[in-house]
Amino acid sequence: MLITRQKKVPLHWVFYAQLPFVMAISANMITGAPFLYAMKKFIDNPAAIAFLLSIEVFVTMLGGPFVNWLSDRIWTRFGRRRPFIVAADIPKAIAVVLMPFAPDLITLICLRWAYGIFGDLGSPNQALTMEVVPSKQRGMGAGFANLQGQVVNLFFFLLVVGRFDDVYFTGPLLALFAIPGETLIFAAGGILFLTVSFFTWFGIHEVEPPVHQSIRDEQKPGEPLVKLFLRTFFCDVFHKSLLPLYLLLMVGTLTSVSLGTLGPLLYTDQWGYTLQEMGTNVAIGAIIGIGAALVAGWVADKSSKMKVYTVGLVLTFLSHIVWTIFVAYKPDHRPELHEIIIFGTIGNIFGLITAAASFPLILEYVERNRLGTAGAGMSLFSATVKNGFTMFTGFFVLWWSILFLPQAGDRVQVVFQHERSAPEVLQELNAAGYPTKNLEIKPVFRPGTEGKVSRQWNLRRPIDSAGDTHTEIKDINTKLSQTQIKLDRPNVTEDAKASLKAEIAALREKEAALKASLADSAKAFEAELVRVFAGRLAVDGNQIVAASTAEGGSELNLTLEFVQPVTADITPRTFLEILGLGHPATERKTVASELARTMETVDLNRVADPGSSLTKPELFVTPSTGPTNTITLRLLRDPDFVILENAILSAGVEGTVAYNLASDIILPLRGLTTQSSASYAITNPVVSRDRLGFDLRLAGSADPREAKTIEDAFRPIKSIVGTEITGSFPDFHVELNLKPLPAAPAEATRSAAGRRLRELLPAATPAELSALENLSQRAAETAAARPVFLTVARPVVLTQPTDREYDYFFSMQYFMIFTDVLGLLIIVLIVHLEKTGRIVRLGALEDTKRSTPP
Amino acid sequence: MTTPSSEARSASRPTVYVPGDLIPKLVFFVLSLLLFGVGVVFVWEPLGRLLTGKTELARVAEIRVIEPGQPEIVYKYRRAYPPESNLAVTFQHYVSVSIDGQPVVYRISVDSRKAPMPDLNVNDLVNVTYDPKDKHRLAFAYTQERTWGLGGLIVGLGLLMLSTAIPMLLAIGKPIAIDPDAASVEPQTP
Repeated sequence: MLITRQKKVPLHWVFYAQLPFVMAISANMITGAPFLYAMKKFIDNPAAIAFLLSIEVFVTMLGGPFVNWLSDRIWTRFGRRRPFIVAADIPKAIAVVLMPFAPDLITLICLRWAYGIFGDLGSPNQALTMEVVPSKQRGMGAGFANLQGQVVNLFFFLLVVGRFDDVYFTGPLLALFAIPGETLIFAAGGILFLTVSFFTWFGIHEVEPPVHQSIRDEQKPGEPLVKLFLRTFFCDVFHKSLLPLYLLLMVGTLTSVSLGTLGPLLYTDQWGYTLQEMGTNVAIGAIIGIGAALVAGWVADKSSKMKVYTVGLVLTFLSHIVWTIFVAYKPDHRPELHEIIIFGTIGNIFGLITAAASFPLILEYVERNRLGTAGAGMSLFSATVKNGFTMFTGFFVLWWSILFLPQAGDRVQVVFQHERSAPEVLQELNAAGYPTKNLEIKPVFRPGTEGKVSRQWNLRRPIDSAGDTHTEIKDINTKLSQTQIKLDRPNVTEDAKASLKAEIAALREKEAALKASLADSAKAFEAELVRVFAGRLAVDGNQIVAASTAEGGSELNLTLEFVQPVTADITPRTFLEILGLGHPATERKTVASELARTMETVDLNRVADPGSSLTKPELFVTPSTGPTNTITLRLLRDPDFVILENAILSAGVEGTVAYNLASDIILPLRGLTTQSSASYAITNPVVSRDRLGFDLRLAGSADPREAKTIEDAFRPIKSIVGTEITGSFPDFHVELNLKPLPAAPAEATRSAAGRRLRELLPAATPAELSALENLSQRAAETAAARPVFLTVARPVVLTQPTDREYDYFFSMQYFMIFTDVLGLLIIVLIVHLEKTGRIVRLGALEDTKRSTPP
Repeated sequence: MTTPSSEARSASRPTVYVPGDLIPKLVFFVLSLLLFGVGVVFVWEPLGRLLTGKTELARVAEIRVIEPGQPEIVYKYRRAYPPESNLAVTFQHYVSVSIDGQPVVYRISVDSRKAPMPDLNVNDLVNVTYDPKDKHRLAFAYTQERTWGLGGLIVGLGLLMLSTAIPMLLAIGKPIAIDPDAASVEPQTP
């Protein structure tokens, strides 16, 4: 329990006095990255995001100073600070908790503004802390506040921020419903604000000062309260003696321009790191920063503040240039996480040196009796100019995108038969009379590699209305997500369920129509490009270089052609290696070394390894780079699986469905019989589109021996609606009632791979062809995944409607370098004005006079 | 500056403050304890399973894609996923563990919205704990902070609330002397 206005307080009071203030700052973190991603549900445009976030500060920029001013001049029976804090934190908690449920952008922004306005109302929280902790103990208080802040920082970035897209259904929620991490993060913020509110009200007692200022002391007769505030607040803020203060603040603002609220998007949207990776990165930077801050403070005290400040600014400026050049030379312009940490920390140290010198430097120019006014001026400057820059960065990123990056439209990736350069692709388009004015043409490589010629090219064209359609789809998806959460709640009535399902169906229909319109446009673009590049693109089907079968379809051999070299490096070269200073990584991963592992799941029905309880692949992967980049797969399949799959295929069932159903049946059988395919035998399969029967013989050593155990093993299979097992060990007859199975496409609609296989293997059975075709498709999709990232050589590998692209890195780096130069120029101006006597360090002069004996 | 009214009040200033409000502080304490308990339940599931269950390196066997109003999609082989799907899409991860020679498929305890967990594609390996007696419950991928991060957050909040609730309760009825010379302590706010 704390009370205000004591001359000395116990140490634990100093600690506890910081808690409400630090808790409020912690809860405020929710309005950083989490709020940004909540906004991203509705809007991508960085200019709009930055504008909407910043405008509230302009609307309420005098709110905080006014409330602080007022709280100095009133007294109620509950105190003078606490009523404001509690009245602010309860609505703030409500606003934060409601944010993830906002159905549209307007509601979300209204909640954010309400949060900001009530935030201003609660601004006397720092003053209350100061009233509890006497001035002589405030150094310790600041230490506790820093410590608490750092702990919260680490906790937030290491554990909390990465949970945004997790969906929880464990613990108490398992019995209720799944709940997104986003909701829980915002709820945690709400709980924090309520805790602040409760602790402030019941844990801190304000002692009435025997003498205190009153509004009536300063108010002229009939003068409104707001007018009185404006008169007393502004009377000194624009005094000409504060010119150096504002010049230095401008330098600080210009040299600390950053993406601000948009920062997380650089990590996640542009560099493709996860929120967790970003959080870990920030947390590591924060840990290093704690030590660096102490060093920076020591450095700042050792020399002239102006010198340290200027050196810090120059070093920061140089670090911006080096970092920009470094990233420009990285493949895909994507630095590794450890590189971000190294460069970030270096920049952070320079920034800390600058920061450590800047505040004492500012104070040297301010007369001691104007410190309060200077503080007010700084708040006002921060709310206007600094916030203005934040708003401007959003617009700058947008303009950069409009000027230099592809806009919303269609994207197609094509693969040529031979490598070509960008001018060659352009020349071919021009030769065919295709308009190339707004077309973006870029070669595609494996991540982490680059070059000037490629077989794979990415072509994008802008479409005027596509951006709006993407936004509309986003809105529908948000509504769908919220409707689904309502539907998943345990206490929903049948009527409400029906209504929610109808709502979902209507939204789905609308979304499908919008997506279809986008897809049609992309398809049309693809058709135009295929026409333009006719005869030069890879031939569909020819990606299957060779194929064969043996052992009645149990053995499959398939050779596929890929665009990229199948022996490329996967392990990125370290920074030291790039500089030629470090030894190469001892266990360097290559595509070839990773292929066998990644291909392990390309077929689930490989012959079991009799020596192991686990299913082991009987799969051989052979990469080759000459004359083309190929991978040969040799796969030995379970003969019982082949019998089952063949039977299902012979009933005219679609290939993938037949493969999945046969897998679903074989896997539990294999599990029941200790993983050995020799322990069971399937014979006499009889299949229709909704029924499958077969004889099952279990080997003498097999367990189970009860029909019910086998029945239980089939129960989880979703495509089976009923199971009937007759007979007794070791001979059973299994009858499965199935959900109706889809039919195979007619011959004319078969894929190019299917037609190619028929050409290569004219004597193969339809089941063998289907198995090979499925294998080729799965192998192609598997190879496209992490970590090998290989593209099978088909003429068109991607046709996709795409939204506008943003470049958060280069746009901001160039802008930062520009503003750094402006900041340094102002420093030169300040030094010049000081040398010519037009600026005087009044504060420093005063201190010197005070310490010099008369 | 002073006002006559405030000067008059100062003459009758109390010399001690005695904290009260037992009922609301007790309610706050109970709520703090409740939140802490909920957090412990969340953390206990993975932690308890780690202590009492079986730990094994499991292979991601399936990724299921759940989208409202759409049929469920099951991916049983490795593939590249689009960088970011929409909010309504949930990805469920299933791992395969061999128990007594029989492959049992467990759903990992936390799903992922918009995209699959970045390091859990099909055939990736992850350390899981499971209860061999309850083959249809969940597996906890304990090396992933997402399994226990939420529990940690709630436990942290509960502890924070308790750390304020307990001193407030303990201080009830114990007088605190008000400093008679505190009048000069007047903070300045801009």
